[in-house]
Amino acid sequence: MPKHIVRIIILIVTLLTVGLSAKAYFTVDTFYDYGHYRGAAVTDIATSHEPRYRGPDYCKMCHIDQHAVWSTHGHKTNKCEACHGPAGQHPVTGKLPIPQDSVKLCTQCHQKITGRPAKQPQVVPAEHAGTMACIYCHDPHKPRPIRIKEVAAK
Amino acid sequence: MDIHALFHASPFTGYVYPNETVVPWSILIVIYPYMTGLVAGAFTVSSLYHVFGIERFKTVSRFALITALCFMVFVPVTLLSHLGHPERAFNAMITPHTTSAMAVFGYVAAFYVCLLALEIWFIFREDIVAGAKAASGWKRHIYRVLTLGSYEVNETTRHYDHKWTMALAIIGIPAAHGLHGYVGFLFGSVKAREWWSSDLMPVIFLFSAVISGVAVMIVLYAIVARIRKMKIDESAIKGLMLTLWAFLMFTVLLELVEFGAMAYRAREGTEVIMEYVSHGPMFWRFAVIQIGLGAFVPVIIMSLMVLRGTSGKALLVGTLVSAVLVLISVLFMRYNVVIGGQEISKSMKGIVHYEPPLWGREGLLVAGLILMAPLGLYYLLTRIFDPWHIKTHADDPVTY
Ligand code: HEC
Ligand code: HEC
Ligand code: HEC
Ligand code: HEC
Repeated sequence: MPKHIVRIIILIVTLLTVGLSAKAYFTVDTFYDYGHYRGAAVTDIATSHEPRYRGPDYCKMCHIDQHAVWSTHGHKTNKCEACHGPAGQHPVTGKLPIPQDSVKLCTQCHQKITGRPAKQPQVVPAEHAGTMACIYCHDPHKPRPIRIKEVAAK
Repeated sequence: MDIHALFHASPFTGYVYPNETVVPWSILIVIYPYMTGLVAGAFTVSSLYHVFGIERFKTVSRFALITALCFMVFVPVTLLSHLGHPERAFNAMITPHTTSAMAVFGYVAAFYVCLLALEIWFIFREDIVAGAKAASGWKRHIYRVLTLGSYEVNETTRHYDHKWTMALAIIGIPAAHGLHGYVGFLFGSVKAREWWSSDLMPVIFLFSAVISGVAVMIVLYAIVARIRKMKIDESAIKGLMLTLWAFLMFTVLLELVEFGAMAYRAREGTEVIMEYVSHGPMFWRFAVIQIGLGAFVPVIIMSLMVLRGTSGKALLVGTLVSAVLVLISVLFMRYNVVIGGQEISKSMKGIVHYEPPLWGREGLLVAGLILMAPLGLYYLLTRIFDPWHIKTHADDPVTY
């Protein structure tokens, strides 16, 4: 057999070996253990910190003011944790976040979208608020009536 | 879902499901089957000489192979730039699932690229060896690497090269066509979309692949001949024209049969499809451009040329015009399939109106650039492999 044929066969076999080793190398551990997925994912998910919700009555114990305002105004159907995240062991584990980008927060529920139930109030942000932050005019705990808040209009 | 995606929601008429206003398979997914089609078609042209021994195609047989490789290299680019996380695409190859058509396809496509490269290597081996001896500068280095250190050229090596080329070309036929039939298979298997769900889909994709590939060979051949001031081989052009003509007639027929079957079968919701095709943008895209201008006109032009035995300049111009029309027709066919299927709501009671954006990752500009990129690669590759220099043994067709 001519030299170049031998060499090309060696080259093909080498590339094939490299390819197969790469496949083996990049296959994450425990992938085929139980089926076509990463076996360890099962325990990972089971032991992960699942969000734990406590409900508004829990918040009421300490944040009486916010709860009082909230429970008598338009957002009373939205639980505190929908905006502040799951409480878990709060306050032991630290403060809960205060949403900073209100446009991002409010548009999750108020962006006008095809097929969103009409009874949920919806706005087209660009027309409704321009580039202003929603909380400039709306208190999140008391969305109506509107107010004017001293915040950077972003 | 990322809420910003919603700002691109397309307008619609009738009743559509909310998630359908976002058309996820964009213009890049239109370019993708278009390019695989060009690859399969160009490969067919080269096989017509290398496997079936049709002498007419000798001049363009190497040219077709190089073109096929150039387009093939950029086929995955369309898919990767469509994905938000391109790096995850490789998971389908690292841990492929046998029930996933996409995972298996990764391997088929990779196999085909290797096969194409290998066939080109064998066909050009004598040129490579000659280059390694004669060329100078950077080219010499490339040629020397490509020889794999063997400068041997004699009857035995020729015999081996020829046998390997043959074998590769033969395996290449099912590989190239399987590669493309598969794309049609993917669309055809989507049961929920009446516009796609058809057993004819793979066949139609295959035939349109062949015509687009032959057409692109004609157009590129004419352009390259112009630039390089080469004399155009009339017999090759005639051969390409006849191939285009024959396959085009089948393609139109199949497309009409598929559409006719859908109309006649008249399953639930066909009214909306009929309205979609007879009014609105689909009328222009499907009836006028894809079928009328892009298929019937070239069939008529080419039939006339065949009947009257046209030759010379008139043959070249007629063939070129037909080829350009066919290229446009096939591009619109891909658009009408990919975008069209998503425009018809699964509610079968409404239609979404998608306008491809110009800018952005999924815009017309990027799609155009990817479509043109193979020509750049062609320019580079032909610095090393001259497709017009044909005299080696490996080029000879199979002898039975
Ligand atoms: C046991 C009392 C207690 C309960 C119950 C409680 N919090 Fe708090 N929360 C605190 C304390 C203490 C702080 C820290 C205040 C500080 O440092 O200014 C805090 C801080 C916060 C902050 C950040 C305020 C800031 O100014 O940075 C938010 C938001 C918050 N809590 C929301 C909630 C929500 C929502 C709930 C109900 C799920 C809740 N809290 C339940 C005691 C409580
Ligand atoms: C619609 C979303 C939303 C809901 C529901 C909501 N909050 Fe808030 N909350 C916010 C936003 C936004 C801010 C920041 C306001 C600002 O910067 O002016 C905030 C601020 C706070 C603060 C910081 C102090 C303050 O008043 O600015 C606390 C504490 C708080 N919320 C507790 C609560 C509790 C308790 C509830 C439920 C009774 C609740 N929030 C329900 C969005 C919400
Ligand atoms: C988790 C979803 C959610 C988020 C986040 C949310 N809202 Fe609402 N909002 C609602 C719903 C639901 C209603 C209607 C409540 C009802 O009618 O019972 C509502 C009502 C309102 C109303 C009308 C209130 C009224 O009294 O009629 C305003 C104004 C409003 N929201 C503004 C905001 C602003 C500003 C933000 C951001 C700080 C925000 N919302 C964030 C769900 C949300
Ligand atoms: C310039 C002040 C201003 C800003 C900024 C603003 N709003 Fe409003 N918004 C209003 C006014 C005024 C109303 C009408 C209040 C009323 O009828 O009591 C309103 C009403 C609403 C309503 C109720 C609509 C309905 O049909 O009942 C929603 C929801 C709302 N705004 C959401 C938002 C969201 C989301 C943002 C941020 C993108 C925002 N707003 C920013 C002034 C503002």
